[in-house]
Amino acid sequence: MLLQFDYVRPKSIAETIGLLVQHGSSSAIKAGGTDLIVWMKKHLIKPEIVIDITGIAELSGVFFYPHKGLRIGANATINQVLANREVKRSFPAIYDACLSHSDRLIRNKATFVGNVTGGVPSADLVPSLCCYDAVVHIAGPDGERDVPILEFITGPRRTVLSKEELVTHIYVPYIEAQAAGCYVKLARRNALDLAQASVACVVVDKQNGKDFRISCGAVAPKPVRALEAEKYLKGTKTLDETAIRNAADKVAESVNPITDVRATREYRLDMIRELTIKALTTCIEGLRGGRMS
Amino acid sequence: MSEIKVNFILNGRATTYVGEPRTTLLRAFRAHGVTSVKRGCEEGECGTCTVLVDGVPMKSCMMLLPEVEGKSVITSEGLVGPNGELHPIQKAFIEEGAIQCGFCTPGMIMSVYALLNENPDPSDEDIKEALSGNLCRCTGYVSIIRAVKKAAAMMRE
Amino acid sequence: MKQTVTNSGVGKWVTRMYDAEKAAGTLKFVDDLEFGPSLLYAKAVRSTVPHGEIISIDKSEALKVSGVKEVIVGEDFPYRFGLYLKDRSPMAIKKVRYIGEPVALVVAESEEAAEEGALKVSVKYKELEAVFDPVKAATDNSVLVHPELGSYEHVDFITPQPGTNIANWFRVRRGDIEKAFKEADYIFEEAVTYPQIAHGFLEPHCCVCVQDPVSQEITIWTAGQSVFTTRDIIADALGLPLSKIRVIAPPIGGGFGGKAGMTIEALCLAAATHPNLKGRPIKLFISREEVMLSSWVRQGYVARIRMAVNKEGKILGIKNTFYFDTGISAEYGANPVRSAGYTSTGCYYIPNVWTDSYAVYTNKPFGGAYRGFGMPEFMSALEMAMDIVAHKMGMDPVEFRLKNLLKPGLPTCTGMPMHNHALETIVKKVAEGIGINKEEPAKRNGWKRGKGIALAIKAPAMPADAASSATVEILGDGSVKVLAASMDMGQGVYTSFAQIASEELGIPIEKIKCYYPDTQSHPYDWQTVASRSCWSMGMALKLACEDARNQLIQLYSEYWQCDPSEITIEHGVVKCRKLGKAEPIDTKIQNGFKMPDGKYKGGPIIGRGHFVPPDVIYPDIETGQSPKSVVHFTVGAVGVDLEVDPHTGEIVVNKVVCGYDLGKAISPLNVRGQIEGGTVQGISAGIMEGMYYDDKGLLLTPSFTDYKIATIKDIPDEIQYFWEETPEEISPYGNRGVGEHSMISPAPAIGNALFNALKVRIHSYPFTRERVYKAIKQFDEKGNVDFWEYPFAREQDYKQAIKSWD
Repeated sequence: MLLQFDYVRPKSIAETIGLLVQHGSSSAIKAGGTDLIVWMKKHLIKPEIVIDITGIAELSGVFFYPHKGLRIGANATINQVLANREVKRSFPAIYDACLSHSDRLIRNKATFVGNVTGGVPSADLVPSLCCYDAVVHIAGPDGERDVPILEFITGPRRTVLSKEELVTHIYVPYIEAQAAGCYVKLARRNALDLAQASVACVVVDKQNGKDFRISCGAVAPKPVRALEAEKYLKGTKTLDETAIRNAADKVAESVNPITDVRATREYRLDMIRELTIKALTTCIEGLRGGRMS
Repeated sequence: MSEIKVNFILNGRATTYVGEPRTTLLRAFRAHGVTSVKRGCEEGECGTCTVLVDGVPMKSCMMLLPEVEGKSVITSEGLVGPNGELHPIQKAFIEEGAIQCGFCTPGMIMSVYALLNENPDPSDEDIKEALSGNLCRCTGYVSIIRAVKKAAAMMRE
Repeated sequence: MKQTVTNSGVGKWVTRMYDAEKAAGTLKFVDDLEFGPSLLYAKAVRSTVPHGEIISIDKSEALKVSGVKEVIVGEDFPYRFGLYLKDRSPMAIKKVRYIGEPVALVVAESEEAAEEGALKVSVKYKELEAVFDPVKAATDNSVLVHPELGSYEHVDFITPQPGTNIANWFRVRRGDIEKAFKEADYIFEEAVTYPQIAHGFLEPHCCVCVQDPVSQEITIWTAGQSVFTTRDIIADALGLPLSKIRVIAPPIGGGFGGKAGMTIEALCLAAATHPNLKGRPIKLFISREEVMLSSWVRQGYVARIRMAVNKEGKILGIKNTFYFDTGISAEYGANPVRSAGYTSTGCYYIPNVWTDSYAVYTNKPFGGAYRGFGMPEFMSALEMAMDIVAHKMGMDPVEFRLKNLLKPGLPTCTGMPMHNHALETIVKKVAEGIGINKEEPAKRNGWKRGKGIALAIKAPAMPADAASSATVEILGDGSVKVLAASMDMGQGVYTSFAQIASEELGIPIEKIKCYYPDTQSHPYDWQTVASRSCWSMGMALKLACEDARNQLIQLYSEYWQCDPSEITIEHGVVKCRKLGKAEPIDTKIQNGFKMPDGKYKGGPIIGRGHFVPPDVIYPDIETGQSPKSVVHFTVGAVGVDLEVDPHTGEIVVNKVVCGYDLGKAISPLNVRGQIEGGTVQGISAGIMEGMYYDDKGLLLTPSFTDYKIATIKDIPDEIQYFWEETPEEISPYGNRGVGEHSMISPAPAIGNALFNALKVRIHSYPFTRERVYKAIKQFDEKGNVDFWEYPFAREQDYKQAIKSWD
């Protein structure tokens, strides 16, 4: 059961910030609420006031600005993100990640941004955002700021947000080149499960060669790009099976999984290798075929 | 915070609920006698609490009472006609043996209703994707897939 | 001449009773019932240590919570309950034995207040050493879960071993096992493990109890499969007469054995019988986590099977050691141990048998009835062992099984001659259905494909005196009221009963109604378990219908002045074709017939019937022998065609083909439902289900977040089923049970198919992706074919990451 709390539904960002300043750590922001309600039910967090931001117009919507990027408002549900055609076309790794999240019912309520602010290491949407160099836009009493996604989450369920700030939207820059992307996830069953391990991959076909972006989920305390693997791939002429396998080994070296009831560390490491091979192969073939993914 | 008053439309009728903000929509329904909405896990894993909110299927255990203000909600009681006529989806479930204990059925039917509204001729893959959040332990899902296809055919006529 | 005509009788595909209410959501389960403002709510406080003495329970803070009325502890309700062995009290008294055991019960005016109160009760424990591994618990008496085992009451066919952790020991000693091993050309020994698993029904347990402060009469509404057994267990423990306890079971949201016997009713009674609370109804609803922790589980299982085989491929002897991990209570868990014991040669004829089947106490949640009742556990071992032996001997696994098949007439391990059955036909059909000898390439790129088969067998596991009775009333408009206290938990038994009544009375099924169980109105039935209802209650019901029909025909024959043999009932109309008479059944049936002599005769027609299995003899305590140890067996087979991704361990089942000899399908729609549902449940158990604990006995899978069951995306691409109908002699229509059987062998069939695909033998269930992957890796790196992982505590527990995360 949830403990008692006050409930407010501000109408603007400014009003929200005012409430956050007033109540600080005894408040919690609710967008979709799908994580919040479960955590509150288990008494993992016990806010005295719940600030429901779903009534704020500036926080809704999934907008694509041609040649610029994708703006995902804090209130946009994951299914709303999926419904925007540009997401599948230009940000396929995000598309895959959204589809892999929970189930259709939960995605009708859970917000895209909420998966990021939750900061859980197995968050499905974060690895893809890392590959697209997404930026988290934050508003607070001292103004607004942008934080790159790789710096936004600092540890399990910890972000750079102060108690007086909220995320207004996430911005994903458009890639002005042919690019393939995908997100592959391993779980214990085929639906509604947290990732045991996951890999997001984006490959950009530039004039002077290919750019590789690889990021893993559920295997490290905070989001990280597999920089060694990326460098290796960029410097490799022939992207054959051996090269991909070598890259996969390097990706596995960049992560640090734990053993828990969902999987052991060893399995996770092996699966990161397997998923990387799968993801890279998918992206490289996607580019060869002239398609996006 | 003690009690609040929430006005919304339930199965086509203007309704007012009084309750605490911490009450989930699921518990609020059940406290007001809408018992087709079940509590199977209360953590979003089983789907027995599925309802339609403004036409969108959601798990009501993950919603707070104040969130339903001004919205229109449909539950499986709402699919039954004024003289007790069952909806084609309900009929199809019965005909295909897609109901055993009946506990998952109302939530499952609401998910199917949402699916068929959006996609009148779903493939097996579409059906599985749409219902992946509704658990059933009795039927093994095979008869449910049959029922959805039958309902889709019935509704297309 | 058959005197009834109907379109909705036995064997027809009909619409199920109560489906419309289920589809509309208007059918009320216990949690849906309203009791008005006097209803109080109870919430349990649960142990946080696996084994310990309770030093103190501080209720003071809890009692300050607004709305909290009482905090009840074990000493306030010091009764021990048990179906076969009285080893369980609803709350811990002085000692806790597992994490999750109720130690106190908070009762309040609202659910929220009760939960808040429960959070504020503080309990101090003195921790004792605990034991979690059943093999250790069985073979080492240094930690005793029940030191007072010797003082517990039990039925005489259960043999607890005081001074140990063995709650029951079922033995089979048949033939000369030493000689068999001496004469064998080959000896094989295989071990298999299976963790505890949960039922996963979607409706958590819920119960409302009230005791009248003047008459002391108790009324219980409960989500239960066994109203009479619940009543009897409570009456026995509390020393109350049966007439002072009324148990009502509204429809339940799935049972699978998990709502059999007595579950949370006694805990709720601890509140309802409290002097300050009497007279007020008290509701106990347990959350999904509490269901996982403190209601029945399927026992964990470790089996060692040793087989003596000659070079022709005949099995000469089998030596079985079974450890059933029954957690802290064997009150019900003692019986699957017997069931596996007296079926311990499975579907095979083996002349020399030595079986030791143990129910072992550990400091974990307690085992009870679960669909299959010892047989899924045992088959997971035996059917894998059969496959291993066949392979090692270079024999075809189907041929090896057929060569040793328990053909009709041959003795089972108890000496009972096996009755007629179509198992050989079924095995061949299943083998052909999946093309077991056809090697086919995998459909999925890079995956490996394999096929496997496993046989299934089970008898209703029940006491020799499990009785059923039913009454049938014909009402004044020709409709029929059936009172048969079986619980229709979704398997559709009320529809089957209505079909029986329709068959025997000639009345259309739409006019027949079965009512949910209530010990006040219904006559006695033991329980709805063991796949016994269509058989046992079916007999009682058929007799009741015959009784009613005979009364009706007698009356009409006198009324029309014709011979009773000339009267028929056709679609609800009573006819005497000879005299040209035809009348729909009307109020005469209720208020009496004015006979030709002017006198009224008759009155409301009530037919009654009862049945007890006539000739079951309990197996001998020392040898397990009995000429009729069970009423009958249902046999079957499951074939699986699957593919596995060697890179991740993921399994996808292409096709399942399964068949069962059920004697007669009274209600084919419902039989199909049971086979499809049980097959998926068996697959789910085989590839993803297991209750895991850390090294302190804390359940790591306490909710659906981490206890995963099959979703719609996890089912096989195709399930083909069929059934055979070899009639059962003592049976209303030749039918035997089928409810449990489809759950028994999907898991070993998958295990055998995995071997066929990967040449790796995984001895530890479930076959999760990680486990399959590890087994493949071990084979690739070390060449080991066989792979085990013990289920009792997570292996490699909590190895920290190289750099700590926090």
